[in-house]
Amino acid sequence: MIAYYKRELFSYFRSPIGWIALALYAIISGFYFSSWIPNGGIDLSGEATFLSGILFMIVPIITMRLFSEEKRTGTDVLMYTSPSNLAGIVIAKYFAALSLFLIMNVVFGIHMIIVVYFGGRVDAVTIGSFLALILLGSLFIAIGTLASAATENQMVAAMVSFTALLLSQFIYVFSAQFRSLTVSLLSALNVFGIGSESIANAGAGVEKAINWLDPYAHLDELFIGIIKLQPIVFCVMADIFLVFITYRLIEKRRWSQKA
Amino acid sequence: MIEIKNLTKYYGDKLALRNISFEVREKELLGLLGPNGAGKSTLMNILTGFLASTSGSVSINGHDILEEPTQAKKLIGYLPENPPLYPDMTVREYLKFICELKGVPPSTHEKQIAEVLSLVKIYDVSKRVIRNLSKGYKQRVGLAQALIGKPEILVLDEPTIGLDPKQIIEIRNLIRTLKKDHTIILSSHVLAEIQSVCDRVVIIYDGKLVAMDTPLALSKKMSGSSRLSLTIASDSELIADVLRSINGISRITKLREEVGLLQLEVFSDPGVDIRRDVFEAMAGNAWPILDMRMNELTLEDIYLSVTAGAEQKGGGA
Repeated sequence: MIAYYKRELFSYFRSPIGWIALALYAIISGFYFSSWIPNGGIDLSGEATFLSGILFMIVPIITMRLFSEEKRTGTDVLMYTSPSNLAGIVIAKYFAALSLFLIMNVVFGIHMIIVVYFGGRVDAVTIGSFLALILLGSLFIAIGTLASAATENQMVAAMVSFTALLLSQFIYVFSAQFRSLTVSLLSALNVFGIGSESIANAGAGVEKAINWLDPYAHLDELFIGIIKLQPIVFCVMADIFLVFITYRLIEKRRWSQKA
Repeated sequence: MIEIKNLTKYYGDKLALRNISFEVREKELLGLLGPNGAGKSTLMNILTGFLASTSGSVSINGHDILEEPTQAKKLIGYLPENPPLYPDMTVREYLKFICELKGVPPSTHEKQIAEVLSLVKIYDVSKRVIRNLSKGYKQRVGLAQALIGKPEILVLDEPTIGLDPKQIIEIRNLIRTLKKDHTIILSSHVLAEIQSVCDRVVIIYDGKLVAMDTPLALSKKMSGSSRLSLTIASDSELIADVLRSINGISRITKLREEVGLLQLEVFSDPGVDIRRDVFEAMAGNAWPILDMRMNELTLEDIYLSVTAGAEQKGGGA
């Protein structure tokens, strides 16, 4: 497990991918940070919110190679034939990508130090926003890891995770659409004689259920400095669930793949 | 050491291996022979835990590869047809990674890496990035990773494929050296390779085990007929007809035909020595014999005979 973690993490810096991700992140966050300087105050929580909005572009770069490249080059043989535990290897790869993301966020820490050095303060909103950014990143990396395990083409993996992460930003739009759709459908097919109030409740239920999947909705309070356990538990559980699905997908290949 | 029982593998509807059973003894070098697509790689992939079989079992020193994978895999070093190399790592970094992956105690990493580097003769490239190595060196690095952890069993899938003749000889010599301390399963479609290094041969054709024995025993089993190589300083079209009239000749194959020269292979019935009759027939027609040699059956003949038999039984694959 440690072997794969170290290999994956170092491999980011042996290829341009790690450096590109680091540079992109540093430039974008630096651009946002410096744009506040003329205003005389730095909005660190705004920077964290802004960075969370661009994760859908950065994360696919980090995760696209994780499993797809192993399959393409035939090095996946090592994963299956070594005495190491396959679940451990999947976890190691996930944590390697997460570690790169945390390294990328060192730049945010530097921004905090600069703010404190010049007499500014790091408040609960900043801490909460930063925590939300990390949790969102961990969740997106889990989605990207799953996408990488689903294909042997890293570009396809990148496109799939890019699309999934982009769409995740509009879950609240979809949920409203599904609410209207549910209400319209139940009203049109009112075969059970359901009352209009019940139909409205059903629509609201559908919207709520879909919204429950929206990571941004869970992290809303963290972004405004209300630090609670619930969003942390949600993200960690979602990470575990997605990594488990990735493991099952990789394990399944043993039965389905060709020699 | 290795026990394979009723192994069957389907890829969707396609049957890749059907009911294969055999055992490999300790310190034995077993050759897997078969044409491309016969199921050799599938069998090796199942043996090493890379693939799961549809039915049947593989036991390595009593450990089932699916039920006790960790214990079973610790005993195996696997070199697949395409060595599983990370091109961005140096040879030493890669072997260190393999040490960690195989759970080799950290205190012995350097010692083991040095031993393996010296055994497969890649010490001089140990600091080079794998991407920049030649095909031959990459194959050796692949073999080195299989040897890390000192596994009792080595599974080598086409280890000499794509190598130049000098490298092939070196790898074969290395395999002979490794045989002293390891049980080896070697797959190849190069018959000379199997014949020169293996103790026993398993011939697989169309997913079926069609023959299994020592090369010598297989040769004896099949040596019902003998084969005569004949070079005649004539290109007369009558030569073949004259030879066919000799009692005991079962088949004639034309190998080469030039102006004033004919090279043939003449197969005779069991126990019949046709050399004297052939000589008299050629002399009687004033066709000088430049060369006449009795050949023993090679593994190639056995292989062709066995696979042809399997093809006929199966109605032609």
